[in-house]
Amino acid sequence: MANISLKNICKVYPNGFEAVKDFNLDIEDKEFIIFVGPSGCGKSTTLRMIAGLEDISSGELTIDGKVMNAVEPKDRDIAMVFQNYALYPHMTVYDNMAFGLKLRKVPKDQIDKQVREAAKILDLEKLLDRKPKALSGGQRQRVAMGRAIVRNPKVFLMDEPLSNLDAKLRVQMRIEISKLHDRLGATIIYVTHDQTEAMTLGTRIVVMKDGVVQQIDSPQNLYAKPCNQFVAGFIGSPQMNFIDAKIKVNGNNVTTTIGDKEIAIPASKTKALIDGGYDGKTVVLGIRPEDIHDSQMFIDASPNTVIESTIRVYELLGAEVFLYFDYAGAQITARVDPRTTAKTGDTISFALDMEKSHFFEKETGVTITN
Amino acid sequence: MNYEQKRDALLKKLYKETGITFEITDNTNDEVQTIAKLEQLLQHYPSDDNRNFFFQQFLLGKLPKEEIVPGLHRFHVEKGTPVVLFLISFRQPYSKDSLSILSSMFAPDAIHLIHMDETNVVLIRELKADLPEEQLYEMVASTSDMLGTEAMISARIAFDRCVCDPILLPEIYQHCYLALEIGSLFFASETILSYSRLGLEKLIYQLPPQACKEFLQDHFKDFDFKELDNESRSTIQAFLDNGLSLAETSRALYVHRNTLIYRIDKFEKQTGLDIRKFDDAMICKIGLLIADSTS
Repeated sequence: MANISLKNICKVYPNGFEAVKDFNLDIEDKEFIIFVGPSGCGKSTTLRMIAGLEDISSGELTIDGKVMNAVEPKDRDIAMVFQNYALYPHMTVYDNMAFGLKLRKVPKDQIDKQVREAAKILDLEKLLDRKPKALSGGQRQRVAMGRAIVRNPKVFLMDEPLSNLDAKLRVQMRIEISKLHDRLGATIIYVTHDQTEAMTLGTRIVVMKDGVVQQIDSPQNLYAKPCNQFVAGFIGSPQMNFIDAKIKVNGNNVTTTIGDKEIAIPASKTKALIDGGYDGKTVVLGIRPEDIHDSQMFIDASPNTVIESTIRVYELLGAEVFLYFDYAGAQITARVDPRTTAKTGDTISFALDMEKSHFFEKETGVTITN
Repeated sequence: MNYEQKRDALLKKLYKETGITFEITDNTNDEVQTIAKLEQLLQHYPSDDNRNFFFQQFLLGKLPKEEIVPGLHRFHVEKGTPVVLFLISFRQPYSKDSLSILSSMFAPDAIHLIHMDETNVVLIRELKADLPEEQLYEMVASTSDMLGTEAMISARIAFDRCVCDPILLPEIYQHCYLALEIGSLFFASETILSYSRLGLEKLIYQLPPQACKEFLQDHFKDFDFKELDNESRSTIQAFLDNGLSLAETSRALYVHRNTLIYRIDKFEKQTGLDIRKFDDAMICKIGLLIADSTS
C-alpha cells in the first residue's frame, strides 16, 4: 500500500478564498486517517487535492516518495468513494463493478477475477446478477465500495460515504468499513463531519476548522487532551460545557470562581495557571457532561466543587440521562445515571470532577491545561 | 439475433438518428445485403455532427426561429415531456470516458449529450415527471460523484428547473451558464450549482460595479474586508447564517457565547456596524458579498 505526505499544502481559489492553509501530515501505510470538522473547514478540499480533483495551489504531495502535484488523477493509483453512491441503473451489480475497469481497458479475464474477489470481500457474490433497484440501501453502498476495491488502489479516499444512509444503516456500514480496513490492509483517508464516525473509525484524526489543522491525534488524546476550545467542543457528544471562570492564585493554591461559587483547582492543573500569569484573569473552564455528577456519594466526596441549579430539561436515553440547566450564564449539560431521581424543575446539587476539567484562554481559545 | 430482429433494430436506430422513417421496398437484395446497406446508411449519416450542431446553435440562440420546432421534432424532443438540462464544465478537456459514464448513467434513448466546447458538455435528459429542485440536486450530485468515482474526473455542474416546453431550453442554458459564472465568484469550492439557490449572490452579480463601489464607500469608508482575519470572517459569516442568534452561532462555532460577543464587538469597533441589529447585519452581508465579487 502507500505512505502519503502532505507538506505545506495550500488551496487558494481564483476568487481569493483560502480553503486550506499550510496543511502538513505524514500518513503511514495502512493507516485509517480521518479528516473531521464542520462544513466549510477544508476537509473535502484537502481530500480532493490528494485525489487530484483540485489543483494544489502550493506545497507538495507525495505518495511513496513520488511527488504527485502534477500527476493526473487517474494515474495516482487512488480510488474514491463519495456520499452519492449512484449506480448505473441498467447494469447488473457485476457490470457496475466492472465498468471502471472496462474504461481502463483491463483484460476481460482480469476484470472477472477482480470483480469476483471484491464481491467475496463485500459479501456480494449472490447479488452479482441483480440490478440496483433490486438492492437495499446497504447493498448499494457495498457495490459502490466494490467499484473502488476492484481497482486494487494504493489509497482509498472516502468523502462522507455514509452521509446519505439512515442512522441504523450508518452504524452497520461503519462496522463494515472498519472490517474492510482490517481485511484489505489499505491506507484509507476518510472525510466526515460526524465526530462519532471519526472517533470510532480512525487510527488518527485530523481536526480542521477554517482551512487550518487544529490538532492531529489519536481519538483518545483528542478527547482527553484537546489543544484548544474548538477541538474540545467539537469532539464529544453532547459537547463539552464551557463556563467563564475567574482565577485566584494564593501561593501554591489556585481557586476559580464560577458564578458565585469558589472552587478549588486540583494540584495537577495549578502550575500552568500560575506560570501563565492567570491570577485575577477570566478564563474558560471546560467540563464534559459525564464529569458533572448528581449522585450523593460524589457530592459528599467533593464538597468543594458543588454547584446548585434548577433542571430545565430532563432527557432519558435509556442507558443514561441528560440533565440540562443554566449556571453562571452558560447552558450546562450533565450526563448522569438513569437511576437519578432528578426531574425537570427540581433544584439540585451537582459536583464537578475538577481532576477532569480543562482550562482555555478566553480570547484565543488555546488550552492552558487539560 | 435473426434477420428480422437485426433489420428492425437497425431501422429503429436509423429513425432515432435521423428522425426519418425508412421502409424497405426493394426486394431484390438478399438479407445479408439489406443488413449491410442499413449499416452503411447508419455509418455514413453524420448524425452526431448534425444533432450536435443543431442543439449547440439552438442553446446558444443562434438558430432561425422556423428551424427550431422541426429540429426538435426531428431529434425527438417533444413538447409535454419534462426535460432537465445540466451544464457540465470539466476542469480539463473532457475525454470519451466522461461521455461513456454520462451515457451509461441514464437510459440511452432519454438523453442528449451536446458538445459545447472542449471543456463544456450539456446533458439534456427526459424525465417521467417534473421533479422538485431537491431531487434534481440529488441527480446532479450523483452525476458529479459518478464522474469522480469511475474516472477521477472533476467537473462543476449547473442546473435549473425542469421544463415541459423544449423551446425554453436556451433560457435554461443561459441560467446554467450564469450559475457557473456566479459560482466561480461566490461559491468557489462548490461543484454543484443550482440557479434557483444563488440567492442574494445573483443579485449582487448583476449590480453595476459603480453602485457596488458606492455602497462600500457609503457604509464601510476606510474599512477593507481584506483586513478581516479568518476567525473574524468565519464568525461573522456563521452569525449571519444562524439568523443572528448568539446561542446557535456559539454552538455552531464551538465557542463560548462571551467569546462570540467579544468578536462581534471587535467588528463593531472596526466598522461601526452592530450586526446584532438586522439593518446592520444586512449591510454587512451585502458588503461581504460585494467584497467577494470584486476581490
